[in-house]
Parts: sequence; C-alpha cells; structure tokens
Amino acid sequence: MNNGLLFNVKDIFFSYDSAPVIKGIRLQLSRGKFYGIVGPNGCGKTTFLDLLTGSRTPQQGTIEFKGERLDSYPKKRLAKSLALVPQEYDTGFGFSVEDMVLMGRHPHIDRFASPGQEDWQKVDQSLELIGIDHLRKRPINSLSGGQKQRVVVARALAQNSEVLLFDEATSNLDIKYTLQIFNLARQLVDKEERTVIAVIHNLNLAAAYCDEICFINDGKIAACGPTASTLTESLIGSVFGVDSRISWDEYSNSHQISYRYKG
Amino acid sequence: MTPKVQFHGKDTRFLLITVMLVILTLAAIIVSAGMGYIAIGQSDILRVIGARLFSSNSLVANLDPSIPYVVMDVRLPRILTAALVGAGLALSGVIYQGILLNPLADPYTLGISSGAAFGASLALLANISMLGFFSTPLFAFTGAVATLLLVMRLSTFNGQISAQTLILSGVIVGAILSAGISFMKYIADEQVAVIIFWLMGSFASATWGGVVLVLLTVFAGLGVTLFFARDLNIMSLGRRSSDSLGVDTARVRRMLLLSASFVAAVCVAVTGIIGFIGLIVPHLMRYIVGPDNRKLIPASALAGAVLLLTADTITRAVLPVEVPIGVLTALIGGPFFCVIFRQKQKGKFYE
Repeated sequence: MNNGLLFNVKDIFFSYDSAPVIKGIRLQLSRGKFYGIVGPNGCGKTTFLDLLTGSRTPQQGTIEFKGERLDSYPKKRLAKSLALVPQEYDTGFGFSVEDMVLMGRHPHIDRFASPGQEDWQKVDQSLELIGIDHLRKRPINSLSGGQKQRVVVARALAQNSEVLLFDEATSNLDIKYTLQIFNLARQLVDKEERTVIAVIHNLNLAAAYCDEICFINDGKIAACGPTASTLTESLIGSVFGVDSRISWDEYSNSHQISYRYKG
Repeated sequence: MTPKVQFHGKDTRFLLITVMLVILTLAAIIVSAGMGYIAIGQSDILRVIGARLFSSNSLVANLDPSIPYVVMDVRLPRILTAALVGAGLALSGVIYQGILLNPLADPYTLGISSGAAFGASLALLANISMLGFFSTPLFAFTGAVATLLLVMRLSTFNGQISAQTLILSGVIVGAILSAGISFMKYIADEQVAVIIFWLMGSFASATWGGVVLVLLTVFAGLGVTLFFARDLNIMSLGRRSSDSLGVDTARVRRMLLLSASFVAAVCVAVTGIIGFIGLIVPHLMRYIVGPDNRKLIPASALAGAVLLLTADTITRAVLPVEVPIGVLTALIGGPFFCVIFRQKQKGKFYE
C-alpha cells in the first residue's frame, strides 16, 4: 500500500454511443507530482480527464481515488479535492468575474449559507495571484478569450483542492500568461504538495514543467513515466508521426524538442 | 490581506426591489379588482376581502349586495389566476433559459405549451374525466414532458444540446402539434367551441379551484427551484465545469426541467396558451437584479404576476372588446423576441 497513491485507474474502457474512446487504461498517479498528459488530437485525453473528475463513468473497469471508488464519492466532497480547468466552458448570463471565481467556493459553502470570510479571502487571493483583480467587477462576457481563461484558472485556485486538472488550460493565452500559469502550478506542486494533472499540447512546455509524462495514443497509454526517460524521439515519432530531436537546453534548464519544419 | 467584504453588499438593493415588487403585485390585485363593468372603490374591495378573511359581515353591511359577489366570485378568481399563471410562466422561463443556456427559451418557443395544449385538447375532445378536475392538467403535463423530451432529443448531437437547433426543434414540434390540435378541432363537433376558446388563452372561466391548483403548483415549483438556485447558477458554466464544482448536474437538470414543465403544463391547462411571458420577464429582471438565480427567480415570479395581471386587466376592463390574452401577449412579446434574437445574433447580449 503506497500512501502517496492518489488515483488508481484499473483497466478502464469508455465509449460514446458505439465509438470506443478509452480502450483499456491502467495507471497509477501519486500525490505531489506534476503530470503531463500528451497525445494526438482525438486520442481520448479530454475523455480521460472527464473520467478522472467523475464527470463520466467508465463502462468497464474502476477508478479509485484515495482508496475509494470514485463513483462512490458525493459530488461536493469530490469537488473539494478535485478542481478542473476545462478547455471549453460557457460563460452563462453575464456573471461578474468575482461571481465566477466565487463559484469555485461552491463545494465549501452549505446550500443556503452565504460565503464566509475564508471564501472571500480565497477569492481575493486567487484574483491577485492570477493578476485579474482589476477585472473583478467586469461581466465575464465582456472579456477577451485569454482573460476568460485566466478567470477559469482563478476559479479552480479558489476551489483550493489538492488536485488540479488542466485541460489545455493555456490554449488561448499568450506566452507571458502561459508561463505565469505553469509557474503557478509548479509552485503549488513544489511548495504545497498539490498534484497537477495537465493535458498539454506543447511538448516543450510538458518537458520543462512535468515530473512525469503520459503519452496517450488511440485510447491507450503508449508510455508513462519520469519525463526525462519517457520523452524520446522514437516515442514522439510513433505517437505523433513527426521527426524530432531532443536535446538538453541550458537556457531553459530542461530537455527541449526541435522539429524538422517544412519537411 | 484583508478580505474586501465591503464590495459584497448588494443585498439591500435586492431586498428593496423585492419589497417593491410585492407591493406592486398587491396593488395591481386591488386596483384591477376595482376595474370593470361596475367600478368599485379600493376601500370597498379591501372591505369585501376583509369581511371574507375575518368572516365579519359588519364590514360589508352598507355595501350594495352585488359587490361582494362581483369581487369574490367573478373578479378575484380571475385576477389571482392571471397573477399566478404569470408567475408560473416566468418561473418556468427562467429555468428553461438557465438550463438550456439559451436566452430565447421559454415554454412557448420550446413547444412545451403546444405539447401541453395538445394533451389538454385530447382530454377535452375525448371528454376524459376519470380523474375529475385533474384530468386536463394531467394530460397537459404528459404532453408537455413528452414534447420537452422530443425537442431535446431532436437537438442533441453527440450528447450535447445544440443551442442553435433547440429553438428550431421547438418551433417544428410546436407546428406539428398545432396541426394536430387543428385536426382535433376539425373533428370535434360540439366540443369545438370549448377547445378554441380555451386555446386562445383566457381567464374568463377562472374558478377558485383553478386558483388553488395553480397556487400549489407555482409555490411547489418555486420551492424546488430556489432549493437548486445556486446549482443552476453554476450549471450556466456548462456541464463539465459544474460537475467539477460539486453539482450533480444530471440530477439537478432533470429535477428542474420536470418542475418547469409541470408548472408550465398546469398554467396551460388552466388558461390555454399564453406566449412570451416566460421569455420577456426573465430578460427584464436580469437587467434589474442580475443573472444570479437566487434573486432572478423570485423577482421574475413577482414581475410575471404583475405583467400578466396588467395585460389581463387591460383586455378585460380597458379595451372595448375583450381580446384573448394569448393574442395580446403574443402581439407584445413577438417583437420583443425579434429584438433579443437580433442582439443574440450580433453576439452582444448582456455585454
């Protein structure tokens, strides 16, 4: 029995109608690590995250979270432990930024109670950490795509959960805010022993930030393990079908991948 | 870091709006009870109501004996039905818009009203009365839920409801059902007048029994909806977000859609099709109290009551001929729908 074991994914299968998406995944994820999930478009990454958050239930196999079956958790209890930054989201009927971030406190507030001191504190902290304090009264619909995405990240921070799941959370962001969010996530892992599970398209970002990296291809795990030993040129070739070269980069202090362009 | 609690005190404003809406509703009831063929003073109305509430006949001793009858048996059932149905339609409009994330959704545009009308017409035509007073509402509810399921099924692709096709499906299903209703009218002999008059929407035949039925339904609907109001707020972010924020989205969605359809069906069963109240009122109130459903739901219910009661009083006591209320609300609501539709297409709604 490993005390650091967070998720124990046991041979899960999942299909939409009759189209199989997850075709047998067995995986163990531990506390206090930064996981990157990579793979080609349509390989089942997002569905896999949905299964980890309990938003969908596998048709075969089980997922255990901290030793208990994921589907046995009441939703609110699960939401205290797991926060998701989804790739797509609706913005509702014009809630303010502040209201949106406060929704991250929903699992912590009783049904008819008002948000307390601690809830507002977390909201204020998250807004400041992400640097959108000046937008707090703006209606969310009036923000740009990148600003909206940062609001959603702030909401997940306000949720104050031990696990954060990012589904392409920086796809709309410029490089400055992409790095800000990755740095923030890295700090949460290093300083507070939280766990980050992030679907990442940019392999160089994954190489720079992740402790472990999992390649998903066609609904199965192609490889999973410590970033340095897992990320290889031949694996990238077989999963993505592109030629690449991996080398140690002094400036970024990480392994970086270069591709052959115009090939 | 000190939390900025001073930013969060918007509730006095909401309280003020609510109190104003309650006063407005009560005033509208009293004023409209005095209007009509026989004009009755407000103090006389209060006296008649007081006499009935406290069963003291001394209050009405020096009044014309026809006045208590006009107020209690003719006007008040109609007035209260109009107010309650307005509240009910606005309530179901808020829920449909909130869950389906579509500002154009209401019982009428989704075809729910037509479905309820179809069920109710069937009951009227076949003269079904095995369940007594509740036969028509029950058939209406069945029709409403069946229509809702069909419309949602038609607009669902890959497990996602497409907002664009939702209203289109509602209109198509509504059109088919209207044709069905027309056919029933065609084959109905002596029942045809009953169906036609009822379909146009009218409060003229309101009874105290109807008042009680709508009252119970609307308050039950309000109770369920307010219970889930915060969940409904969060569900406006989309299913994946709300699931991960601790909302049992599938269950809450089912509960709320059923409640909204039940309220809409009972309203239709009691008064016929009255369109656009469920569309207009939530929009107006969203501008005034904001998108938070905990405030929007009670505010919309009250405003719906005032609006429909006012419209009904206009057709009953102001216009020279009584225009069916459904016609009046469609005449006002149709253009309103066009404006919202244009703004939504331009993508600048609520900005």
